[in-house]
Amino acid sequence: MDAASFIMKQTTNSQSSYVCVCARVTEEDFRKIINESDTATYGELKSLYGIGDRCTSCEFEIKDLLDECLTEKIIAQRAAKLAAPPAAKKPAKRVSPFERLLQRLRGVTPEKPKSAAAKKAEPAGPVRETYRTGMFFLRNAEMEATLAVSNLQFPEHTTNPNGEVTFDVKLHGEDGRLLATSQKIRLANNASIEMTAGELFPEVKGDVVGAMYPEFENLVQTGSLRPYAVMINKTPRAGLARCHYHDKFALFTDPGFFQTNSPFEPGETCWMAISNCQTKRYESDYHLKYGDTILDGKLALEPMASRWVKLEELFPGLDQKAPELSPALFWLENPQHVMVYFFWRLEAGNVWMAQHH
Amino acid sequence: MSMTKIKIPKRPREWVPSAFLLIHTPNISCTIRYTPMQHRRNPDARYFSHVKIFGNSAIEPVWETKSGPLPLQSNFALESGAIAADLGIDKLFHYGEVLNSSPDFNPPDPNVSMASHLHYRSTDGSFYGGVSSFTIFGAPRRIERGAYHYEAFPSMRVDEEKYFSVYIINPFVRPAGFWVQIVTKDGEKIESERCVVRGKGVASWSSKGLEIPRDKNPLGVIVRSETKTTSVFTTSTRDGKMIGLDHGHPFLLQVLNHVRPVTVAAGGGGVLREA
Repeated sequence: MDAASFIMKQTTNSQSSYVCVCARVTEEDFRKIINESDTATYGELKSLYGIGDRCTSCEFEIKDLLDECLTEKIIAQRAAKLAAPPAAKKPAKRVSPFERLLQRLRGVTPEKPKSAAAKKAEPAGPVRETYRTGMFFLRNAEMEATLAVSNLQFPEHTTNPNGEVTFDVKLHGEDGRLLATSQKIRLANNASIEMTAGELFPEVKGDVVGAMYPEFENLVQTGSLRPYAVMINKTPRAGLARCHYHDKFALFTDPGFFQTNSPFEPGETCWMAISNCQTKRYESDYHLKYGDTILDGKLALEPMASRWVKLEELFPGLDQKAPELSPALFWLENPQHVMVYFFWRLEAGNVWMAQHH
Repeated sequence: MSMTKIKIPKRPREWVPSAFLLIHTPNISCTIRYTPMQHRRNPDARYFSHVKIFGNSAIEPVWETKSGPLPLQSNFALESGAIAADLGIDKLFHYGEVLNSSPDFNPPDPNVSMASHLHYRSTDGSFYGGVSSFTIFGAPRRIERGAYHYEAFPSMRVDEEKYFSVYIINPFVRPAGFWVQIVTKDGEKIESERCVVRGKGVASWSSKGLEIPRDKNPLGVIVRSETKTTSVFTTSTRDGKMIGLDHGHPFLLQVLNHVRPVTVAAGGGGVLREA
């Protein structure tokens, strides 16, 4: 094989010991699977071993390796057959093994009949579940967050398995109290919406710091429905913003380590938006490290409470013009899962940006 | 014939690289920063960062650097200006890849890459945003895949005041064709012509020249791609200010279970290997 074709067989030039990182399968494992089982298609590798089934990044490499292994297997089988003593003559087959291989690789092999147990294990219909998620919310004289959702049909499907979706949105305030629940919102297939707090929660007046929690009913799959909030400036003086930031809510017990490594950049002002999406109190030490200096403080949020804070306010007396503040590192010590976003305002361009963590 | 399944050993997870867009002009710069203060925080472990920037070749990087051992609370920072100066050019629009890893413990869960953070800034507000480097391998969720790969982004706007752009990042050595699809508020679809992003390359597409009636907004946006590329979506004003930047998501096959979540098994993560 020449260098050019070797390169084209590669998915990436990563020096991984695995052909599929997600399934943690080495080339040796892969060859064992092909040589010692009747697995012969990419689909079977996905369903039986999870190979190529998650991030899908190894797809081309797996297909090429499958092609190579099956060809080697057939050549070895033919060689063994030629070396073996002649057997009683069998009726001629219509399709040669190599042709069958080609058919399999092209995906034209008819599906094998399923066993009775496999048929019994199949669900009667799609399982429908609730999808509840959340994002930080802010409304003040200068800025306002909107809710953005698109219910897009997967472009190669003839229908959207979720069809028209229905959801409502709960708004919790700065102290964690439930402020309002929106009316049921219907979103047709391939439709997009962007709704202000005034449209979602007309009864809620004035400034709000909090979190929005959309709850989608009876979904077959999440599809394109991950919601975003969009932080928008209400006046040009506030700085120009149309910053999308997506949902983060989960009741994970996995640690969520929150940090930003650009908290005090020259000409930028950084805010932290934090929402405790759990039903237990969140308490954490926070730290700022720059050079050899570490500053500390403590932060607490009641269940479902939120806070919008300029980072400099967490460190009174900090000389923000100190050159060693870039790069600096800000982090929260408690790994309890909360929703954390950072927003920056750039003085020179009078614009905003957002980053989720 | 029933399907036989071969038993294969459960092997440890390994650290893998992630990808990013490197951009630099006389007005725009970015900083690429890695702190080990993510995933699991292990004060006794050593961490390393290996950054590669790719140019015309998808195989050999044009620039690379390796950190020494980094302590847990370090902040390994690279500046686009320094990379441009090393390369002897004043503009960069390049694919970057970073392998952040620890030789002392394996990834504890399916998130097998430790990200670097990209912080873009400009002297005139024309390019501004923050985003992590993007996962190439490893996924805790199942994504939907057809003949093409897709990523979606909700509720963008193209009107007399704003437009959006898409930046495509291709982590593979193969070049990839891609299309940008706009789905208007009422479901009408508009698709770009086929564009190409080269292997280990980046490309962009802009809706600046489009005119879409205000009442057809907001727009769903889909990127259709021949390989599993990653997309960054930006919003700009017609007078050239970038006012939003975030990444899209693939179509997800399962319902994200935030009601009754299943904790990902830690798998011994954070435990140091014996020396």
